[in-house]
Amino acid sequence: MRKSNFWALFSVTIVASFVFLRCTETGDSSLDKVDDVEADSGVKSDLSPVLPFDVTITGDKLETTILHDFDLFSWQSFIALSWSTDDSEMIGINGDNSTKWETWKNAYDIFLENGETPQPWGTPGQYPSSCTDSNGRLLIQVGKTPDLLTASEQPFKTGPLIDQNGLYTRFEIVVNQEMFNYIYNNDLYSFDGQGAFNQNAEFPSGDNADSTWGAIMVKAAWKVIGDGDDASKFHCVEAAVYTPASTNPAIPESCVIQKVGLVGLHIGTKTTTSPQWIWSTFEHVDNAPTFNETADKAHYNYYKKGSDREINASPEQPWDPNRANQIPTQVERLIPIDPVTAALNKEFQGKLRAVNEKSVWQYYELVGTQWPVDPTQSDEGNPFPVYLGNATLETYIQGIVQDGKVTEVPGVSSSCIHCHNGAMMSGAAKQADFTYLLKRAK
Amino acid sequence: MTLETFVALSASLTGYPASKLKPELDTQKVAELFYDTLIEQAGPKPLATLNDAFLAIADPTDHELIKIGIFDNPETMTLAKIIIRMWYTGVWYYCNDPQDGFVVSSKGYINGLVWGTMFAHPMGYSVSHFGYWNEAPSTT
Repeated sequence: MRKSNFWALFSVTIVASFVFLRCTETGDSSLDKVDDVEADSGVKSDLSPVLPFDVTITGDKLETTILHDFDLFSWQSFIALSWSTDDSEMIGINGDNSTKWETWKNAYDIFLENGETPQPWGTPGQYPSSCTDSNGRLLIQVGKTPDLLTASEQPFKTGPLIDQNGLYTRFEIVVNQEMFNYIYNNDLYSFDGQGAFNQNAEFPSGDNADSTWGAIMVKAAWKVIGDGDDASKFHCVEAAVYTPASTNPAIPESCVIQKVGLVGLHIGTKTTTSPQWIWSTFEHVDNAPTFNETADKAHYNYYKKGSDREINASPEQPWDPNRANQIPTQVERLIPIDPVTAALNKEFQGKLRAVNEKSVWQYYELVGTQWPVDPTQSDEGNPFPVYLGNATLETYIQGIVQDGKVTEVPGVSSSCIHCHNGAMMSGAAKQADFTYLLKRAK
Repeated sequence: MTLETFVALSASLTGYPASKLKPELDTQKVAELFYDTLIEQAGPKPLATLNDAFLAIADPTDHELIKIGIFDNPETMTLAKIIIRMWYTGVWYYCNDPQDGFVVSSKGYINGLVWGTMFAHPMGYSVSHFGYWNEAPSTT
């Protein structure tokens, strides 16, 4: 075993009671310090560990006003979900922290082989045989869709996302307790259970009047921290990174403990005001430049200055994370961040920096929020904005570039609500309420 | 012609209210798309003539006044019909010739009023849920 691997495994073993390790340790996490920071920065009322139930519409329906309200909901959700599992520990006060959403139920722990009953909420997950020693976090998906390497068809133009070090980006999907309970209580984790249920799924909705949370799902994209990456700018975890076996070259499946940094995060929230869900998407600020704007950063996670590689081009097949000398994906953001959103990003990044100038959370930005403007107008509810994409999760469907201009294609370019409106169950010809997770039931 | 006048004129020509053609929170911005197309394609003189004729109509909700002021006038009738076709089909027809035109854009096509008017959707694009074709169509 290589020395670095040994120490990584050793580190994980001695902190077996913790789900993951912090990437940076830059300060004192005492409550006194929290109080000091709150008093000094005045951030107590703005940065809260309390997850909003639903959006709060504050004013008229002017585009900028309502966009701000939904973006605020997104940021509040991001802050609450990224808050430490210990509410008294201010987010980012130690630079990085464990997060609430990472304690949620992972999709691979819900939809098991042969439709077996999943373990109850709060029970540790199950791992592939090669990962039995992982003793913590597991990243098993090498694509946004779980069967990227094996399915002959995909729901949209997709492919692996390869970072500047030639390594595959990893993905995971987790759900909150409300969403898990609905799946569990209605036996929707299995093909047969869905058949017996035989009605459209209707997940619980978050509601301000009732002070109740609804179903929430989080999709995360992670990159392996390597050459050129500044780990102090990422929310990091030590995770068991699973790689399936390949035949050419013949390499067995593997599970290697690696430090990975968060690069993308979707938050899907079902609420009373938005039965088509509210879709919030965040990215690491150094992922990629925006098309037709100056690439002014020294380092990007998914973009190399001066490269003549085609932008947002899916890697050539066969896709195999075991292959050596992978060609990095050259990514540009095709759907620019709205100025209203950008202003709110600056505001929240400033607040996070005020807590601790080394907070990793200041290096994340809201790319956008999509919601149904007229929920009853149609099944899709007239989504706004029409197109929204995350450079790490919808890399290849952001739009197309023609004659130096970006063109979005209806029904093809990335729209959370339009895509998820087509989600069905696997065990019954019934609607899955805007989640493709139920399609995984066996 | 201003965008505001174009929307008011379009409401009179299509029968759809201005609030539908250009909603307060406009997700699609089809009115801007068709307005830009009109400015680009219609000559300045026909455009100015139509603009003046419409603004001279005392009550733009009165169908008879619209008929007399625009459709009975050979100098404004053709462009008015082109605008109606553009709103309903997303196609700009040159010189009122149904064989000669171009699709303004995919956005204009899928947002053409014809689809909603006949409770249908454009080929290849639907905002209904999977399996809707197995259910009776909505007529509201």
